[in-house]
Amino acid sequence: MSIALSTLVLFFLLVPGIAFRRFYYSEEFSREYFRETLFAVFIATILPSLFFQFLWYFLALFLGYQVDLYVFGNVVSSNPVDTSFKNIEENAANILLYNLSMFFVAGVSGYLLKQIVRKKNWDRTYKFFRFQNAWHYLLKGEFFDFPRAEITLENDTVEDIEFVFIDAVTEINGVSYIYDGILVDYELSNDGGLDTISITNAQRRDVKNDSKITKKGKKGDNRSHYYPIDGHILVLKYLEIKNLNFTYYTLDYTENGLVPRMVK
Amino acid sequence: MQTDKRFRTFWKSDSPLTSKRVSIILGSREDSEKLANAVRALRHEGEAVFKLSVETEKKIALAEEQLRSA
Repeated sequence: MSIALSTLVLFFLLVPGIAFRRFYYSEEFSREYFRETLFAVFIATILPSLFFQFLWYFLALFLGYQVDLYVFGNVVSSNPVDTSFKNIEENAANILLYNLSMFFVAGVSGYLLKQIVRKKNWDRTYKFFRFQNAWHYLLKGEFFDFPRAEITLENDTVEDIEFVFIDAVTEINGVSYIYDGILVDYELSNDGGLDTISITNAQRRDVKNDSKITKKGKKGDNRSHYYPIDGHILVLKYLEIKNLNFTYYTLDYTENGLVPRMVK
Repeated sequence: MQTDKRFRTFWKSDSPLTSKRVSIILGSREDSEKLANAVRALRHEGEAVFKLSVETEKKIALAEEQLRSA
């Protein structure tokens, strides 16, 4: 058997699984597609590939077509006969349609399954369905719905979270600063970790200028110590961040206007 | 209000970081600053009310209308 041909055939057999995975790990979870080990990718590709290959084999039989496995086996054998190639040539259009329809359905199935998992919140409820993008669940507050979460929302839901306020401690020239602002974007690194977070209406202060706590336990006003940072967004590199504090807010309407409120 | 929620649809499962109305508020420099300052005031004073500009309120009302008619 030709090594090049057998490799090509193996790849061809795995394409449905590759298409399924590519569309299952899409949008916010696309990094996961590239991040797994080669072995994990191989296993996670083989299973959906086998499923779609079997499904299409029997679907073809049901529709009155015969997938000739002897021809397939002969083509990848050490001594393929001419009639096998002739058979492939004569049925090229059907073979192409058979495979392209399988690849298309595999890709669509992967995408639809992911949408169902997200829409039904199965990834929040069941660890089996959870995507590896931990930062996604943290930054969007979806972790509140994890069964193991120690903090749960009793009055509000995750969907009620309207924005996230960030406090980030960074060190510049040996001095620690706290930056705060409203989270507007984030980027993941290639290894799935956080790369940057972007905040708007940022301010910063020296960590030393903490609020004084009164005898009654009330926090003193230290807003005069904050330095407003002009600009649309401030990008903080995760590697330079020491700590991150997330606060999830919603907005309530009152007679006098809007009031931000921590979700609870 | 419809715009209170960070909507996900079947075809778009990646929920935005902010709700539609906060997204509109952040689009206005003045109102965006009011929102951030209201959060800071809330942390220190316990309550913070802020009023949106007329333009932003109109945009939010329009977004709510579009959501209702969708």
